[in-house]
Amino acid sequence: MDRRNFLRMAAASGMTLGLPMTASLANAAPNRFWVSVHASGGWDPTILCDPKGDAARSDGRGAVNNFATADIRNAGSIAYAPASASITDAVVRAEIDAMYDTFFQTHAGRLLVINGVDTRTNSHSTGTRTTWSGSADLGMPAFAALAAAASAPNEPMSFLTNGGYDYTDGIVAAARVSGSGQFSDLANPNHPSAGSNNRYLPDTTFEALAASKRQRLEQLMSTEQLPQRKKMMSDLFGVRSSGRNNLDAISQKLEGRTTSGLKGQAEMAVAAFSTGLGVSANLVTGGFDTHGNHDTSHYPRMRTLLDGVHHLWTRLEEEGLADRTTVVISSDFGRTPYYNSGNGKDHWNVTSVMAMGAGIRGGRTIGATDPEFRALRVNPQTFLPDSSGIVLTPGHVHRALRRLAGIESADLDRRYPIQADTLNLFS
Amino acid sequence: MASDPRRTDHAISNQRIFCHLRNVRAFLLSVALPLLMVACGGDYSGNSAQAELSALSCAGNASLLPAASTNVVGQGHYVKQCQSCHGASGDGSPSGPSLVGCTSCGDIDTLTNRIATTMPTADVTQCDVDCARETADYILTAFKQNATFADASCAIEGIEVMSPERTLYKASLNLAGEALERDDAEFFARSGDGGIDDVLDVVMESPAFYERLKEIYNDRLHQDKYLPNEDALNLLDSNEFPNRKWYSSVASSSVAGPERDLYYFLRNETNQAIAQEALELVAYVVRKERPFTEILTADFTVVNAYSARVYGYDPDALGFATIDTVANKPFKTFDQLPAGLQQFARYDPTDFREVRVSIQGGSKAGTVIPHAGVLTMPMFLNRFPTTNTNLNRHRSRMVFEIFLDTDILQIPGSREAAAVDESSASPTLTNPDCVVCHKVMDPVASLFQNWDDRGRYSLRRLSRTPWPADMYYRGINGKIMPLESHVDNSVQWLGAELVKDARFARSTVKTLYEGLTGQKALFPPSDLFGADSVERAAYTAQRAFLGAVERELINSQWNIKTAIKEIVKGPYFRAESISANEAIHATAGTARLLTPEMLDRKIVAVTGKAWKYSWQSRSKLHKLESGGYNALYGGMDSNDVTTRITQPNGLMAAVQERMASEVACQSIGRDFYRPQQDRLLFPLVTKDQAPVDEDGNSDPAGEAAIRANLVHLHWKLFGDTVTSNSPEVNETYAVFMRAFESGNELRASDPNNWSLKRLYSGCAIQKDPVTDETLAEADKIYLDERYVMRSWQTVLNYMFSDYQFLYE
Repeated sequence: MDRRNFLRMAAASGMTLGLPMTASLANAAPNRFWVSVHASGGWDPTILCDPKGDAARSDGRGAVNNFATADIRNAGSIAYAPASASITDAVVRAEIDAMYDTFFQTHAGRLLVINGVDTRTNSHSTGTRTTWSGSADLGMPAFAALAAAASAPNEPMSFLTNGGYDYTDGIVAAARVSGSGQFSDLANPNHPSAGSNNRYLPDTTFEALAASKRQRLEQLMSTEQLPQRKKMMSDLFGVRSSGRNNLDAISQKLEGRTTSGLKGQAEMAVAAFSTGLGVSANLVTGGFDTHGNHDTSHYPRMRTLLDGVHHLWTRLEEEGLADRTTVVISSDFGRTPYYNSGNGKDHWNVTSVMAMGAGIRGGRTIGATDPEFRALRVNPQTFLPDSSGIVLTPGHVHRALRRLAGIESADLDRRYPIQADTLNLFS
Repeated sequence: MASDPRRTDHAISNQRIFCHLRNVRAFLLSVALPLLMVACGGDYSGNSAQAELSALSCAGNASLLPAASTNVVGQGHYVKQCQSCHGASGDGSPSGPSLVGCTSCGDIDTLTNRIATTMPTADVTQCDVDCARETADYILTAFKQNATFADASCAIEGIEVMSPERTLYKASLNLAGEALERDDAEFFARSGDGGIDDVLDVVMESPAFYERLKEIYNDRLHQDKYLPNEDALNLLDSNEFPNRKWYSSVASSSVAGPERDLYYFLRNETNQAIAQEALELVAYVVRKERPFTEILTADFTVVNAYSARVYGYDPDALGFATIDTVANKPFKTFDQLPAGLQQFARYDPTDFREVRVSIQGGSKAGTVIPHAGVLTMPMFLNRFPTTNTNLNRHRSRMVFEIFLDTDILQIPGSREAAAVDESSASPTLTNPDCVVCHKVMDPVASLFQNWDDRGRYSLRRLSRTPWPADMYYRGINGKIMPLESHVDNSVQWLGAELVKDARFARSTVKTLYEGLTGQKALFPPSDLFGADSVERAAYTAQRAFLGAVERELINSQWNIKTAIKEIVKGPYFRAESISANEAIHATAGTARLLTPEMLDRKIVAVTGKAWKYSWQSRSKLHKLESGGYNALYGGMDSNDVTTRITQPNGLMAAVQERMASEVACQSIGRDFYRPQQDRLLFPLVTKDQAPVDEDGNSDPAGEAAIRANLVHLHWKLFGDTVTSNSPEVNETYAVFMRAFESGNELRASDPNNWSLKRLYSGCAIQKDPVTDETLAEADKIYLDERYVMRSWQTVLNYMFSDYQFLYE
């Protein structure tokens, strides 16, 4: 438990002039949604949205990539990588190219690429924390948690997480959902089975029982002396009191099944948003930590990532949520701009961030790296290379995200400060 | 009750010991009771942590205040070389332990020697003996027994603890999933902390305690990742251990039937034993009352009869215990197997023995593994893997984090510039920004150089790939490993060094504290976040307590049961209210949402049956039950999910409601079917005992019985010692009455509605739950014409979803 937790407990007890716990209970259903897509393990932007090609490095370490510089593709002003020549299976290579083309050609108009983001670390845990909270400090909540806490903290799936960096610091309860078959049972605790007319107890008895339970919890809260317990009771009361526990709706939305993997995570997130049960979601796909056989292992992971995000966007559009959802895609850090002795790539501090959707002016690539994938200083207004400019960091990205979410200068923002200027990255 | 001679008679007559968890209570009576009667009235007399803190009572503050003035020279050394990790106020940080109330500092000579030989960890040459003596003097006067530490003992006094009865209830459930009977708890509670010790001694002999211990350590080691299917066995090298799937040659899985059932039984038991080898060693060391340090120093591993074959051992030669396969069939179709196949499944899978492993095949056949406890176990090494470029650094980092309570990533240093140094030939050796961490991490990484990415052992001199020259020499804490006799067993040397490090006691106590209380130990106050005096005082108070527990652990020859007892008896586990220092104790006391596993055990403990469908093999909260609620209820799979959700969300609240409905339903008919004296939930009422008679007149005897049973339920489910007219019972009685009255009104309004006169069919008992034979009409439990059982079902639902049932 860190200082923030300590203060939170103290505040709950009324013993200190602590900061507010969370946003007040929202009355309206959530209307703004956020998705973080984490490529777990440290992705390689040079085979995605910051391609360099096969020009030999000056230090004799070979080339950054195993594809010709001339083969780098473009979708509007966004450059993206072709499949690597070291992938010898022509079918696999063609499938990868097709997925890249589908993703970038379909989404370029709404896609913002921020290159040359310096995470200042090559540690997985620090990098993941920094990328998704904007700070290397312990105890910083993930952006998705902040967004949920600021909007509708007591919805059953306010912050839906599939892993990655999902620390909440207690400002909102994270929810994990592994399948889609249980919602009907959860929606109707007095029904022995979905669709049954039977009841464990007559409805009148069950309704009176629910009132007794609320009374009992209120009574416990009023007499409890330990701040921690009082806080826990308050949290429980909050999530039990949510008036939109409409889990049946999500069950119908999913029709009892989801796809596996990242696509399934996307389907669950969209279902949660469309039923008013969720605000934000962490989506995660792994396998990017390719210290050996980088190209043959990493490209298929990229393909899964792009396929999943494409599926997410398709579902958002089908549900009419695309104009109210912001999607951010990134990873722990980047990978070295050269291959090691096992044809792998190790950890590198420079990464990229991709964003699309509500509040994002797409069709752009901002920020920059040099030919050997070092972050370049950029002008803080134009984001073009400028030797007297600044190096972009996850802190800058998160300050802009907080502005977009309307929580800049709010209590939550002050409580979790980020040491970076607010730049006009997104619009 | 304790003076009732029938209790003693019953106790003496009960000779069963630890055959099953259900016997724990009986054992308390049969063994512990006579012992306690001899020592009745005595207080806990050990040199306990509470006694130590008590000695540092507020009244004694004056004698503890530092008399000497600050050693300015030592302070200078401290600021320059120690402060970045240990903090300006000695409070510590994730990369350096607190020095306040220092557990291991010892006297000036001890501390001087320690500093001179091991500090600063990045370069021990930076502080010679003179420097070390001045620094030690400063630390001892500034941080060890200063006013802050003494104040901490005063601060702890502000925490009012729960009664011994309630402590016993809570501890028994926590440690062994056992709901202690109230009269037993009250009997032992009469001896105060001594009684708590006696009960805990018995509880910590139960099989369930060792499962709980494994669970606590799995939260650190995440070995359960490999439980599914053959995930653990697949990670063993098939050339080196050609018998890794020995069961494939015993039984075939191709055709459904008893042989396939045998195949899966053998496969699961074998895989689980390999997957949990590290956790089993933890349990083994504690069970055998070995020093807990052996988890890192044991030159052996542990196997059961099933995993023994993987390593080439004949289980009969090792003398494993067998089970009574008539009374306890290993699986349903066991009886249908020929005797020749039955013999493979007759061993007790919980019986573990120590063995030394040799590589069984391939070019290294015959090579003896130099075991170093969990550090050299294949699944530990796979769970914390390495690569050709990572060079065991991840393993090193995890060793520091898990066993030395040190987060290398938090070592202060500048990373504002590029995190990657391309200009230096060997930045980890020459770039100060890199050296600050790598000089701590890399020597330990080098110690693992005999173990490859798959956890396979090789003699280093036979390797075709030399260990990189730009890695630090093998060592730890600035100490270089002597090559003589350690060249190929350097992890054994590491294990021996780790257990000598004071941080090992700290990490052990912290693991137990966090496992038992469900709370993280307080983070060292950080100037970065502007820590104030309240935060410092809270941290110091807790550190003083945990430091005292660490000393008890060491003084007990590393018996962690001692540490567990101290934590259970301590103020943080038992906090009930706060009478002073309110702000400091804002985080005191446990308020844990029970984990899925703990809730699962509690349901079994109070109702006698897990929350599950009859056709399910496991409970709905079990981590391996497909389609269950474990993940949804915040559990972890030790793979992708390695942290638990501790704050309930709306889905978890819905799971609670579902559980309350289903468990109340499955319990109502089942418990009333039992003979009244054997009932767990309703021993004091009959199934039609109502508060009013058939004519609607009040029935005082009926009400009294109902209230008495509510008193029983309040203890059984909540650990509350209430009386029949207490506000709590009045409140629950009102729930009963509301259900009873509304149900009877409903029944009266529709007298011909058959469904209103009986339990829902899923809650009724029409067949014997054990034999599955259809019961005679008189024995069936389903008619509820006066709505009494459904009123009780309503009460159970109310109580199962109550905060006091769901939280600890």
